[in-house]
Amino acid sequence: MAKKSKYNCNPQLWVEHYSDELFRFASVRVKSREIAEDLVQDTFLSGLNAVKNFRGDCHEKSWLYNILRNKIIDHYRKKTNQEIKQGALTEDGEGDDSFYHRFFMREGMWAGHWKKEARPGNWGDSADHKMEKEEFMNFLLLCMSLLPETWSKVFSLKNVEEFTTKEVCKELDITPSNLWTIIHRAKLQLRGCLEKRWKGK
Amino acid sequence: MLTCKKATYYSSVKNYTNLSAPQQMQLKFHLMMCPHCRRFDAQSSQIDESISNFAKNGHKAEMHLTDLKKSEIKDTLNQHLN
Repeated sequence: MAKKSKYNCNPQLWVEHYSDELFRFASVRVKSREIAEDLVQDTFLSGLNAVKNFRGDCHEKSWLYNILRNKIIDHYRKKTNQEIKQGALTEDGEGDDSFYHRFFMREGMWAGHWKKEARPGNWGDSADHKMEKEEFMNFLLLCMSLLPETWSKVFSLKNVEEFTTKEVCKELDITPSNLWTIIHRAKLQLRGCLEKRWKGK
Repeated sequence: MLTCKKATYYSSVKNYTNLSAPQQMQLKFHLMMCPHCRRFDAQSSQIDESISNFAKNGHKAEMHLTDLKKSEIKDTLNQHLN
C-alpha cells in the first residue's frame, strides 16, 4: 500500500479509501446527511492540517476516526444547553404534558392510559428476516433523523456511543432526570414513527 | 397501579438505569395486565438492540457519499494542500 516515507499519510487517497466509511459512522450519529458530509470533510481538513504541521506518522484510518469522533462530540456540545432547558423538562417527566397527550389519555378514569388510536400494533416476528431487518433499520434511521435536535443528541450519545449516564449528563450539562425524560419521549416518538412508516399504520 | 404513561417510562429507561425493586415490581405487574404496554416494552427493546447492532456492525451498502460530493471534498483538500 503506502510506501514508507517521511509522511506516512496520503491525503490524496483519503477520500477514495475512507470517506464512505467515515460517512456511515457519522450518519448514525448525527441528524442529517448534510451534517454528516460536513463532518467528514472537516475531518479530512483537520487531518491535512495536522499532517502539514507536524509531519509525523499517522495511522490513517484509526487516526481519522478519532478526529471524526471528536468533531461529532463538539457538534453535540453546540447550542444544546439552551434548547434542553427550554424543553421544559422536569423531574419525572410530568411537566409540559402536551407531548404525552398524543399517546395517553388526558383526564377521566383512564387518564395516563393509552389512547385507542395510539396503541402499539403487532410488529410480529418478521424482523427475523434479514431483508426485514434492513428495512426496519432504514425506517429507524429515518425516524431518528426526524427527532428534535436535542433528543437526537441524547439518544445518540446514550445508544450509539454508549456513553455512561454520567458522561452524557456531563457532556450536555443535563441532569439524569432530564436524560430519562428525553429517552422516554424519544422512544415514544420513534416507536410511533416506525409503526406509521414501516407498518403503514 | 401504574399508568401506561409511567409504565412506558420505566420500559424506556430500564436498559440504561437500575429500576428500584418496587419500580420493577410495579412494571412487571402492569405488563401482566396491559397488552399495549407489553408491546411497547418489546418494541422499545427492539429499537435499542437494532441501534446497538447497527452502530457496531452497521454497513448499509447503499450508504455512501455521492461521487459529486467526493469530488467536492477532493477539490477542497487540494486547495488546502497548495
